[in-house]
Amino acid sequence: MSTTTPRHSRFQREEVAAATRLGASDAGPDRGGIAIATDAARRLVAELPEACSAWETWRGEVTVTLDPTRLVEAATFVRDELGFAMLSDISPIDWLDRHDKRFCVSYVCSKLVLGAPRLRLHAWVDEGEDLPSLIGVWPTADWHEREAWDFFGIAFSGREPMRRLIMDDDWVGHPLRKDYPMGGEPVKFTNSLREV
Amino acid sequence: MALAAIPHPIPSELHPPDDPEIQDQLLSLSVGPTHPSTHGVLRLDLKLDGEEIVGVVPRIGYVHTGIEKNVEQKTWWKAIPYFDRLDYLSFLYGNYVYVTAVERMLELEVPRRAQWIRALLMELNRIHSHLIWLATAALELGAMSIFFYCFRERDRILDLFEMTSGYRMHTRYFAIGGLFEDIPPAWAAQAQEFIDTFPSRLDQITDILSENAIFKDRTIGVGYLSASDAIALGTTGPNLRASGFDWDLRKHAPYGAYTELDVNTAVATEGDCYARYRVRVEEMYESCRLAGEILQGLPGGPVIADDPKVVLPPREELHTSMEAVIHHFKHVVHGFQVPAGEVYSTVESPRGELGLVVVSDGGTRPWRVKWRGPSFVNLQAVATMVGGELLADLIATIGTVDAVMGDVDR
Repeated sequence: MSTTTPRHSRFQREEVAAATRLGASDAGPDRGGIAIATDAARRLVAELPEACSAWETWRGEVTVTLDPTRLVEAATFVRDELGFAMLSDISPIDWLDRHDKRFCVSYVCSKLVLGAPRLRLHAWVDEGEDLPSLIGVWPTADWHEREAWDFFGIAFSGREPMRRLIMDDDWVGHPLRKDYPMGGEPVKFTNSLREV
Repeated sequence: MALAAIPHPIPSELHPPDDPEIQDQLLSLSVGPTHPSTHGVLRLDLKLDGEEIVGVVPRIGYVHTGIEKNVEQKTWWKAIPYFDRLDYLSFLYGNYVYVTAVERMLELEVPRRAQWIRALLMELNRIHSHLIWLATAALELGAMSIFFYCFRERDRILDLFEMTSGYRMHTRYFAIGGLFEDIPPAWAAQAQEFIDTFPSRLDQITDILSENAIFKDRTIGVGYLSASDAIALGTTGPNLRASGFDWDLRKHAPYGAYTELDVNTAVATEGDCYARYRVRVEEMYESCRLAGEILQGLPGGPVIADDPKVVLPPREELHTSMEAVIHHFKHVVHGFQVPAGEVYSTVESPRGELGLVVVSDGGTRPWRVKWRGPSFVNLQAVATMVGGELLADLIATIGTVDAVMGDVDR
């Protein structure tokens, strides 16, 4: 059916889209993405000091480590006050016993202005611990969170129960964990099956 | 019964209300996983009210091969060929995003000529990828001849890739620090011939489609995605630009040779399938123009960084230099170490923002690699696009979203 009538957005976030139009106040060709991201990290740490435990810059990328229980609050601040309208990626990293907690979940937030500033948020969780879901802040988190559950067994609270995304529904284990073996499964060849 | 766009807590899915009376009237239909229009192996569980789509649940993972896990077992330079095979239509971008991530961690300077050749080949790769998209998307809407015209042009690009690396696809041409080797002498003339003739060939192809009444009926007003929805769902690339948001990393966060080049982005405001078609076609002309500009201004000099600690020595030196043999042995047997840390490397691929999180623990292998496939993220928007549309519109919508399942499932 062809229709050209304007339709509404499914996610009522027009104000966020408007705030990130190119040419917004702090965007400019002179200001690199790194400077904007550094300012954003400073503001985040200054305004939510109890939610942020540390921040650092490495190879031109800014990382803020957050208290996992206050993740939603910090993410909402990053989106609305700092203008990082898009969540680019969620990647869990399995550190086994090399750190106090096993998993580091790394969120990459992008601001859609010149220089494409990126702010990385780190939240550390141990095996069996939940992280609050960010679907309410960035709907794109949906599949990323399901993938984190599928591959690493990190559950997210405040959303529908975790389901596998990539692996089969009856798959056992979480294959991207470091302690998951690389080896293949035994293959049943027809000449080894007596009943065939 | 108007059931479109029911608010539901699952953004990537669309569900009809839980009312049993409504549910009884609905038809469940599974599209895929091997339906020709699903661009690989994608399955969509649909709920239909007559021909109207009221429920969509995408199911993915059919071509998952565990590449992220495999890469953790490889030394830094042996991992390169894996990244060509994820998004198998824009192989050079996967190649690029990985080698630049490692280069940034090593703080390695890449020679200017290597950066320009990379940009040139990536623009040709963009045309190649868009041609396959145009061929298949048009085929799904019944335009068979487009397929053959597009593949004829695509083959000429693959010939150029074959000249550079010996492979037509999955070239592994970019190495950490630059290029595997320089382009052959006869390459520039053949590339120039392609760049000179391609715009008129593309005119011929799009003349068949752009004003075609059937094609326009099937695509105009179909698969609408608003700019704010696109941003909320993380959609990037031509899909976002067709919704009216001008966002292209080549222009807004220039990298490599693009810092010296002006890129004109194609933007449409309608957010429908026809807008996505127009944006991609415009991008092909622009890529061709850019490729010509890069080829004309191609600087001289070396094509790989002079750093024997991380760059394989030239083959001919192995016969004469003991140091080269030692370096080669160290590379192949042990590999080089990369400082501990985490980087997020991006490139504007034909499908959008292709990102790669690379984590090093200071060892000779990547500790963790996370592929942020643009197709993976863009596919989440399908449920939002097709809610309330007809079943036939789903085919046009999936076609113009341009998801490559290798990129989605990894």
